[in-house]
Amino acid sequence: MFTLIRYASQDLLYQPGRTLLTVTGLAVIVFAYLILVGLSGAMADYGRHADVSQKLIIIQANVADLRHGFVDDDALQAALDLPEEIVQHISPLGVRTMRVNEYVLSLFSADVADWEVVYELNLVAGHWPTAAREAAVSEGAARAAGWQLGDTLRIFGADFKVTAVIRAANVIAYSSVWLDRSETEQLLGSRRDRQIVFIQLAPGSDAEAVRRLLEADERLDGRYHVYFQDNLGQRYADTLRDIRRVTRVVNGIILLTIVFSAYNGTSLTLAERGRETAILRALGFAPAFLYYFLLLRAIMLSAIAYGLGLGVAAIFLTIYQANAPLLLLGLPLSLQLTVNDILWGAALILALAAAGAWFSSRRLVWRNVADILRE
Amino acid sequence: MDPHHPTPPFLIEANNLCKLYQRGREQVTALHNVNLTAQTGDFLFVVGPSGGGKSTLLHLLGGVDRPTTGVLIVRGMALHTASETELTHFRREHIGFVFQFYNLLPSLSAVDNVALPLLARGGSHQAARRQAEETLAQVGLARRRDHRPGELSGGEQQRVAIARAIIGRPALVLADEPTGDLDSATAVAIMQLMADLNQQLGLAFIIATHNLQLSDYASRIIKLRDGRIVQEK
Repeated sequence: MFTLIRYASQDLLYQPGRTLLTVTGLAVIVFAYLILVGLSGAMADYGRHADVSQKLIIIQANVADLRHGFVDDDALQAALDLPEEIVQHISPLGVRTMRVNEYVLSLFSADVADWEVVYELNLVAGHWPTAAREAAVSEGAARAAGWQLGDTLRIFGADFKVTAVIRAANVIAYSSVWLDRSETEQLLGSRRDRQIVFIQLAPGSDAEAVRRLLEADERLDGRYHVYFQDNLGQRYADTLRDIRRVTRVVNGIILLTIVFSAYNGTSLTLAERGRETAILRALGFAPAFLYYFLLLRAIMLSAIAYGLGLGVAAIFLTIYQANAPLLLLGLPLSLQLTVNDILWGAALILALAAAGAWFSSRRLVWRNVADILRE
Repeated sequence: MDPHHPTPPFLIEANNLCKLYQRGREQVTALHNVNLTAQTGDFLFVVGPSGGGKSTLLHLLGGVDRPTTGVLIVRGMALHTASETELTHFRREHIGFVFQFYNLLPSLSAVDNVALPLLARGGSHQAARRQAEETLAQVGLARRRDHRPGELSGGEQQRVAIARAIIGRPALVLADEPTGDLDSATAVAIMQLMADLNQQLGLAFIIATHNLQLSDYASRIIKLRDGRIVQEK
């Protein structure tokens, strides 16, 4: 084994430029594979943070994007008419996509008093808006746009001062700007600025019974759905399922690429060194020795490439997550590689590289020595 | 002598050796009813024009190919019926090869090239390397042991190839046009080296060549033409 490793190492070092080129080519494939694994894992985690709560939401039915929906007065009244003992808060929420300075992001509007109790916003810095033309920005938006306390936001032609940086426990609002409801009414008028109605139920209430009661209310008349709030996150998560399937297919293709790369690399080595292979056979080396040599060579190349690809992927993910986290529908996609991902990736890639080397070498190392010497 | 494993009377016994090749649709007769014997310590030349069957005969004697028909026994082993595994073992233990174009591994140093046959036998790397250094000294290349083939002259490379062929003390060294790629002075030096090793070590050498000027070194000469032995002296 030591002899094999020694000769494989010497062989790889004999043409360092070529080895580097092969390793780089494989490392790019490994990098792409690991990033996609990270993305796929992020998609699996996407929306899982939505907490199981005693919150219901009313949203318009048959609207693909709830920002285009509107909860009318009748539907709101149906919620307001629920018995007081089962309801703690009812809070209409405006959701819009707006240009704020040069950034396009989600603008939420609700009564400031509801921000903590209903929407579970936490104050990270500054103070909640108390005066006119004050706004809060989420950590995600502040990080993406570089906003700080005291900065001015230009929204729909008016200037707002950032008084609070907030953290949204509910990831729907990860990257957003928040205004008091009275501010948006002044700013935008009463133009259908009620996309969701949140209903915070009292502890111990039978949320499912309340949900059925509301859906049966004739004022909703099938035009609205009543969901648990968790369903909203779930709705987003569902949209990712298909994308995740696509990443799995792409990952499969990438893994096949590794097999073909190893196959090509070994075939090329054998084609160029057919005579050397014959000489070694003539000297009495068994075909199995040469076969293991080629296998080990391919595995060593892949292992180096995997280490390089993993290192670059880890650096890339660290920098990317710190500076420009990926958002999908306003929610963060947290790309990360687990130890499990790394070990599985290594095992798969080394095994597939060995398979590629095996496919290409099994025929050539068993060829008649005299035939090769005659060529 | 071990009574259970008596030394066979001849190192090589070949009877009616034939070798046919398929070249496209055409069948080519490379060797036709060749009969040959050789003894330990022989310094035998196989001469003749290109395409006469010299290399084919060496391939058969070295166990890298099998005859189409005929009987070939080398060092007591019936090569005409041996399996691939048996042939591999036979080459490893009993044969040393020297080729026209040296056929050294370019990625290995001279000493590592020479050590290869011992490693093929499963020897330790250190012991093989030590013996390779001694063998390189024997062919006058002690100072060039760490050089790669690309850094050596043609004559030096052929000396390395000869050292590689003799390091395992094989019964038979087969040299296929060993001076074919060398200038005449170097060719004489290489031939002298092989003759000296033949004398010192008692190894049998069979050398295929078309350079008749070197035939003075031979203890026997076989002339091959069109796959047949046309002269033997």
